[in-house]
Amino acid sequence: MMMRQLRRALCSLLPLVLLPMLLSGCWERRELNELAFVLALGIDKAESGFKITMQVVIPSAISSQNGGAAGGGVPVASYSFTAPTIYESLRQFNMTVSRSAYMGHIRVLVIGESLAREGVSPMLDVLKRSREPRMDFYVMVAKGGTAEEALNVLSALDRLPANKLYNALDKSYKVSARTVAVTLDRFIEDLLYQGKNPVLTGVEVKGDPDAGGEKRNTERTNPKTKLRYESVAVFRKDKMLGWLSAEEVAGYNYITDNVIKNTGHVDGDEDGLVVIEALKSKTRRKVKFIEGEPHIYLDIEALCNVEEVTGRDQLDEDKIILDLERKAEKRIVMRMKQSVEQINDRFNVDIFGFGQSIFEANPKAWTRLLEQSGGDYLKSLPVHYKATVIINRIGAIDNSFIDQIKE
Amino acid sequence: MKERHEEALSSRLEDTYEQLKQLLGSSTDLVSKELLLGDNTHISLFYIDGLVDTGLLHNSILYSLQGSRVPDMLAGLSPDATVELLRLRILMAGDLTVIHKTGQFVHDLMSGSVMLVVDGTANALRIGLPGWEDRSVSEPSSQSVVRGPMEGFTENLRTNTALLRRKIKDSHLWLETIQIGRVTQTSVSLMYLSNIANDELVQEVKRRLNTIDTDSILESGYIEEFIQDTAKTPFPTIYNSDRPDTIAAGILEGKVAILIDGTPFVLLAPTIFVAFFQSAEDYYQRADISTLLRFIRFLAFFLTLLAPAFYVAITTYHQEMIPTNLVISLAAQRETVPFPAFIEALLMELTYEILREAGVRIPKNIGQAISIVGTLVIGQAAVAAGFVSAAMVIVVSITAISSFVIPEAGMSIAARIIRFALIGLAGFIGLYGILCGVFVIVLHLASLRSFGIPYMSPLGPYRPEDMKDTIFRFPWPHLRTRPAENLTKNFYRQGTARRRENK
Repeated sequence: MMMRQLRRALCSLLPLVLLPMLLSGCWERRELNELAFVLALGIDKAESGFKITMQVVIPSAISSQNGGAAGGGVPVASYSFTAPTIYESLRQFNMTVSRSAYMGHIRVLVIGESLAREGVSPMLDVLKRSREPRMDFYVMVAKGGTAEEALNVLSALDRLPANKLYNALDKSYKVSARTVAVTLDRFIEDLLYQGKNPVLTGVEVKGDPDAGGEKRNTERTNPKTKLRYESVAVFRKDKMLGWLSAEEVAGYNYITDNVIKNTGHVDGDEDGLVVIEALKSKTRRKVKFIEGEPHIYLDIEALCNVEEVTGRDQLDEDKIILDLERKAEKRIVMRMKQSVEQINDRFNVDIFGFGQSIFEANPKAWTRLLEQSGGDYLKSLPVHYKATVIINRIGAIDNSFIDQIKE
Repeated sequence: MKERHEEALSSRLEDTYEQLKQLLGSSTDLVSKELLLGDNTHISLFYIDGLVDTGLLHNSILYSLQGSRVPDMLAGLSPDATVELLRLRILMAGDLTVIHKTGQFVHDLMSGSVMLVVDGTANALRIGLPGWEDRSVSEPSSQSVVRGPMEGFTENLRTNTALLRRKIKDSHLWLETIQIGRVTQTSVSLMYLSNIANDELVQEVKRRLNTIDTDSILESGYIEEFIQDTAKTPFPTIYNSDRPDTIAAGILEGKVAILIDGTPFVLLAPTIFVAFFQSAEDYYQRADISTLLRFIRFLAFFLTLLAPAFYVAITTYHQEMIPTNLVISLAAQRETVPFPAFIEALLMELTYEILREAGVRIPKNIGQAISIVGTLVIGQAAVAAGFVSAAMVIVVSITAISSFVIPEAGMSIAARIIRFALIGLAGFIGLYGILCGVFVIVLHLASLRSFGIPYMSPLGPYRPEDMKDTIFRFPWPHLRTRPAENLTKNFYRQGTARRRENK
């Protein structure tokens, strides 16, 4: 009887245990209209510390309720602060702006070229340490300029410049293989891997950087100031070395199995060209040890379509198609080979991750290789290329109608 | 009060008059008609005007009593023998019984019987001639279907039992009736298949019904609250429906139907959680679409329960979970909203509940006003003025629409109540709060029982053989067994003939 009373008393007291939960209040509660969403972060070198640029979206300017796309001012605001650390710049942000900066929706991180050449690692820590930013935004280098300039340029099609940068990189990398889409996560991984060095796509401001930040820039059919992806920056660990050519990027993407779609042309009949688009491409990388020495084997399989013919090629003949396939294979091999040779020649840095592959295949061989050649193993590393191209479709017509045009 | 039931009728007609006057006061609808048959047989007919079929009373009862041969037949008989003779030979009526007790007398009088009293005996004749104005069988209003029977229960108990008898023509369909309510004396009938329903279940239902001691039963809701396992839950643990086909299907699964005089809503016990997501039409349509619709109903249930809470949680605590473009659009909509999302959600949900309640209560001919005020003023003007965000209006609308997808109103009511608690938790600690809330709900559901059967069965105690007709609805030839959770006496509802043929 006593026990039951006791138990009942305890049970009635139990809810009190829950009450302390209320003491936390609505901790961490942030209304959407109290936040400034930082969509893009730019970091440049400053005389002392860094110059940090934050591109913040102005929600009311893109609201459909208040006039929509036609009305309103510019959709974003850029704030630049010179501070020794990124965190300090966030504090400065709060002294300027009525809302607190929210880093959870950063889409792009732009690094000024001069800072990239000096080394970027000091400012990466906060992005990884803070729990707000997600690691899936793209990192890029402002080619020949500053990140601040790049983040100032407005574009007409995408109202938010950060979205434009993100989507354009995403598309260009999937469609053309002329850029590399590197997220912050991957960038840091590449920094940390043995035998691998990172690359980042460069973005360049074409035209007057100052005019790009005005709303007038978006009101022309051909904006005076544009952002354009241009080349790819090569890093030795966190220091940038230089820029790759478009061909080298294509080769790089083939080697690292990053080609989703790529277009190239081979010589056709007479002076004509035949444009071939790779639709599915798969690169297999193998490391073989021959007499104790590592050899890299690259084997590419590409499924292609013929997209454009400027000559008189008789595409209805099997022989011609087979011939085109051989030419395309040669071209891919040539791209890769040139890419490896030129990059070795100019930078002597392993951005392909050959070292990483060797390490993964045989860690001891990797240590031995490092001991033998220091970091200078690339030039002596034999790489073997093989490409298999299959032309799947030749389009809606077979032979070009050029022959049928009567004079 | 109980003693009065035991009191015997008086043998003197004057005393009977006096007794009735005491019991009924001077109720003006009590009609008494005195007749003198032969020379000295005084009889009286009592009935309540409006409860008996007066046409039949005149044409059949009075006609036969006043036939020319009656005085001769009654001559010299004792009053008791007169009653016997009237019952056996003279009266042209089907439903005739002899009664002795005052309580019974009054009850029958009030239930639409004509009472015939002969002076000199304490035995009265009850002539069942009920006949009052009734709603005819019409389309059920609460759970309508596109394909399926279009008849619904009415307020008349006898009509309702007949509707069930017409569906199940089996001698094992047993019907037991008791009177509940000291004042209302409401007839409550149990219907079950004696060869299928579990005996203990039937006993338990009877036991619970017999413990009810109240003065009135006006609707099945009274009974439901008296006999349910626990009142400490928002979830209904007894099923109700005004569709004869649904109730018949329940009886065929070994459940007990409880029909209450005066309401078209029939109770079905025991019931399980998933039963509230099953519509009668599921069994009439093709199996594949029924399964899809059941998934949609579960989805709608979760939307009703969680959509506003989820919106509040992610917009105030978990902004990183929303895709960038969406969060910017949401932020743009919230720009001018002066309230926190939690208050906004609460206001809108309350507004909706008020609108809904007004819509139900408002007289039909001015119902238009509600939709105009609701859609234009609340929906458009509030958004245009910037008091609420358009996204919140969308969320509340989806919640509202979803709540109507659940076929049985009781379950959507539960979701509507819990929703407010979840919004509170979401506004307090975000998704973590919702998670805690859902935990508590699931634990609570798992602890519920309906007449001893686990409420979450066959999901709670997992019964794979019952899964065929819970979330899924297998084609009929595969539904060979009744639900195992009902512990029926006869497990198989389909023969094995087809299988033998195949062999």
